[in-house]
Amino acid sequence: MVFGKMFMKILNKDRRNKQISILIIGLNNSGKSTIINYFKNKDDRKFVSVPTIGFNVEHFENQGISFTAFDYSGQGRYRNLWEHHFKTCNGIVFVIDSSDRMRLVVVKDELELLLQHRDIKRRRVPILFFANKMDCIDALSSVKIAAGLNLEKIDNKPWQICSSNALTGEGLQNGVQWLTAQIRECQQTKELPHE
Amino acid sequence: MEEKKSTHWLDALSDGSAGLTTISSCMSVCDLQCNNYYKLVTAEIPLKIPEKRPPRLRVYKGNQVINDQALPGIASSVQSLYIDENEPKMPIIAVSVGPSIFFYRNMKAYFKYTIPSLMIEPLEQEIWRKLVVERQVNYEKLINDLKTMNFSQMSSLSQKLISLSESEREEFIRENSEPKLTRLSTIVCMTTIYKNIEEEKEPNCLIIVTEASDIFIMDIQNFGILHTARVCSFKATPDLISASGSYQNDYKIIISTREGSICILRKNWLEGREIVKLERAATSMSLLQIDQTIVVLSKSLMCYSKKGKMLWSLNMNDTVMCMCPVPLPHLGVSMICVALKNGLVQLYSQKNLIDQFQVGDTVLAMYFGKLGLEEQVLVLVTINGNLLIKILKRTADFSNPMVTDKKVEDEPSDMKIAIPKKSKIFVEQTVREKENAIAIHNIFQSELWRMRLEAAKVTVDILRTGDSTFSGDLQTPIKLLAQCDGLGPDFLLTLTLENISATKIVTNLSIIIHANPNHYKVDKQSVDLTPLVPGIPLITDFNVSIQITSENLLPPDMTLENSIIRVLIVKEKFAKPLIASTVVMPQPELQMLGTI
Ligand SMILES: Nc1nc2c(ncn2[C@@H]2O[C@H](COP(=O)(O)OP(=O)(O)O)[C@@H](O)[C@H]2O)c(=O)[nH]1
Ligand SMILES: [Mg+2]
Repeated sequence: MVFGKMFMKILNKDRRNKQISILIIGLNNSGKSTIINYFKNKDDRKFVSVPTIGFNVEHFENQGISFTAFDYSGQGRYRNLWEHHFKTCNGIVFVIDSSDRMRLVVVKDELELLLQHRDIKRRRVPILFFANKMDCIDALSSVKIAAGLNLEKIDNKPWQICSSNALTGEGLQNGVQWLTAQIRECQQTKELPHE
Repeated sequence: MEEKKSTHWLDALSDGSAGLTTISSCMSVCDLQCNNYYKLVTAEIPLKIPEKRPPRLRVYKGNQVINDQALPGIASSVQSLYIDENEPKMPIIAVSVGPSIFFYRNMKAYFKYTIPSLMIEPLEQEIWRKLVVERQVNYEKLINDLKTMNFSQMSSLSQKLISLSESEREEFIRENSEPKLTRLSTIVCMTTIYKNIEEEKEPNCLIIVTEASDIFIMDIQNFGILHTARVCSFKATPDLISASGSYQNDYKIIISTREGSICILRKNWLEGREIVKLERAATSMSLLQIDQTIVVLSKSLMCYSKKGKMLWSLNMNDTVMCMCPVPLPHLGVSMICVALKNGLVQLYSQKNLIDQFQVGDTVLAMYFGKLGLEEQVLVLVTINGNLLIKILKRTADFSNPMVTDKKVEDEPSDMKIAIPKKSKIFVEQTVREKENAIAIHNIFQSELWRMRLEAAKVTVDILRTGDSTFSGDLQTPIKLLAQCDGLGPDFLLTLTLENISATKIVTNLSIIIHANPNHYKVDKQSVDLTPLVPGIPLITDFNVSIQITSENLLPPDMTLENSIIRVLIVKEKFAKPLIASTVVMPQPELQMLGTI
C-alpha cells in the first residue's frame, strides 16, 4: 500500500478530475530516484515519460497524482525550467542526503530560495523533508538537520522531517502518511469559501 | 570600510582545528574511490622546522580525514593521475619527496621511483678507482684532491667521505669497495598532461622537474621516461610548473624559475625557451586552459601571451600569497582568485575586481574545482592550519564588476595601426586580378555555390538529426520545452516556448509538428504564434493519438526508436528552423489499449 493508493483513498474519492501534483526535489544523489522507484515497484507500475529537456527530471503519474522529481544541480541554468511547477504543486517532498555534511549549506541555500519563491512564499504548501540515508555511519540525525536548516523558522506551511532509508523503504511510509493528511487538509480549507 | 563578505559563496566549512598546513602544489583533488565523490589529497608541509613527527599525507572527505599516513619526508608536489582506460577508472597518487616519487594506489604506496643520477665528474670517478685499488697508500693526497672539487658537484658518497674523521675513512672505503657514485637532484615540481585524449579521467603522463633543471615526461603505466629536456639554455633553478595538452598530440609546459625567468617547452623540444624575465620570481603561475595565456603572480598580477607579450597587469595592495584560476564556463567568465597576506581573497576577471572576501588569516594554499559532489568549490588552507571550503552558489552572478577606486595600470599600448605600403606584391596582385578577371570570377562563383550547397546540407542535417531545445541564433533567443502527458493511446503534448532574451520581442513564429502519419494523428500540423515577449512563456497543447489498428494493436512498424515527433520552430522568411527538436513519445500502456 503505497503513495498512489493511499492518495486515492484519501483524496480522490470525490475529486476524480482534479490532478494532484507533488514535487520531489533535492540535490543530486540525495535519493529521489530511489524513493520514486520504491513506490513505483510496489505499485502496479504506470508509465514513465522522460521529457526531452536536458536536465535531470523524472516524472510518473499514478491514478491522477503526478509526481515530478528534479535535481537541484547545474548552476542556475535550468532554474526557470522547473520553477513553473511551483505554482501548481500541492505538496513538496524535499530529499536530503544526511551523510553529505559538506553540502548541508547548499541544501539550506536551496531551501531558502524555495521558500522565498513568489509561487511558494505565501502559499500553504505542505513540505515533507526526508533525512535520507539514515543508515550511513556518518549520517546526521533528523534533529540536527532540522536545526541546521532552521526549519522551525517556517511558520506559514506545515512541515515534517522524517529519517528515511530509501533502499529499504524505512521511514518513507510515515512521511507519506503525514503528507497525504496535510494535502487533504489544505484542499478542504481551500474549498470552504466556494461552498 | 567596504563590504568584505561575499554573497556568492556558501561556507561549507571553516575548520580551525584542521591543523593542516600545506601549499597549493601539495593539494590534489580527484575521484579517489571512483564514486564521483571528489576528495582532497594533501601532503602536510611543516612550517615549524624542525618538526619531530614526520609530515602526513591525508585524504579529506569534506571535512573528515578518511586516510592519514606518514610520509618519508617533506613533499614538493602531490598529483593524481589515471594510468589506463580500464574500468573502474581509479586514479593513483604521486607524491614527490627529495629525489623520489612515491606512487599510491588505494592510498597504499606501491612503487618508488628515483630520478636518474646526474653526471659524475671523471676526476671523482678516477679518485674512487684509486682509493679502492691503492688502499691506504695515498689516502691523504686523494682525499685532498677530492676536496678541491665543488662540494655540491660531487656524489653523496664523496660528500660523506670528506666529512668523516681520518680514523673512520679506511673503514668507509672498505665498505664501499664497489662504489656506486650517484648524484641526485631534488624534484622541485610536478604536473600532469594527458597521454592521448584530453578528457577528464583519461590516462595521464607525469611531468617531473628537478632542481638541476631537468624535465622528465613519464609514462606512468610502466614508469618509463618518454622524453627528457632542459628547462633553458642557461643556469636556472626551476620552481613552478603549469602545463596543458597531451603527449601524443601537442603540449606546452611553462616553468618559472627562482631567478624570475618564465620558460616554455613545447612538444619535441630538448630545451625550453625563456619568454619573460620578471623582476622578482613568481609566487604562483598558471597556464590557463581556456585561452592558453599565462597568469603570473609576483609583486603584481600579470598576464602574458605564450610568446611572452604582456597582455595586462594589475598592482596588488598587499603582499601576495597564492592564486588559482577560477573558470566558470556556465557564467561565461574566467577569473583568477588571489590571496593577499592580510587575509583578503579577491577574484579578478582580467583586471576587474569581481568579488572579494576576508578570511581570518593568511591563505597559503588554494584550489578551485570539483569537491565532493559539487562542481565549483574553493578550498583555502591558511597559515594557521584552517581549512575553509566555499561552494559557489547556484544563483551566483558575476555580471556586475565591483566598484572600486583601484587605478588600472596602463596597458603596454601599441595602438599604432599598421597600414601596409603599396608593396611590390600588392602591385603585382592588382595586375594579376586585371588580367585574369574572368577566371577569378568563375572560381568565386563556383566556391559560392559550393558554400550554398554546404549550408543546405547542414540545414538538412539539422532537420534530420537536430535535437536542440535552444535556438542557436542570437537574434532570436528562444527556448523550447516539451512535455508529454497521458497514458496513451491519446497523449497531450504540451510545448512551452520561452523568449530568453532580455528585451527583444520575437514575432512571426510558427510551430510545425512532424510525425509519421501511420503512427500518430496530431490535431494540428502547425500553429502560428502570437509575438513572444521576454519572460512570458507561450504554452501550446497538441492532441496526439496513436493510430491504433482495428485489432487494437500498435501500428506494425512502430518501435521504441521511431516513437518520436519532430517539433520545428520556424520564423517567417527564415529558411532554417530556429529550433529542431525531437520529442520521444512514451509507449502506451497496453492495458489501456485493450480497454478501448
Ligand atoms: N545508504 C543509502 N544509500 C541510498 C539511500 N537512498 C539512496 N541511496 C543511494 O544514493 C545514490 C543516489 O540515489 P538516487 O536515487 O539516484 O539520487 P537522486 O540523484 O536524488 O535521484 C544511489 O547510489 C542510491 O543507491 C539510502 O537511504 N541509504
Ligand atoms: Mg535521480
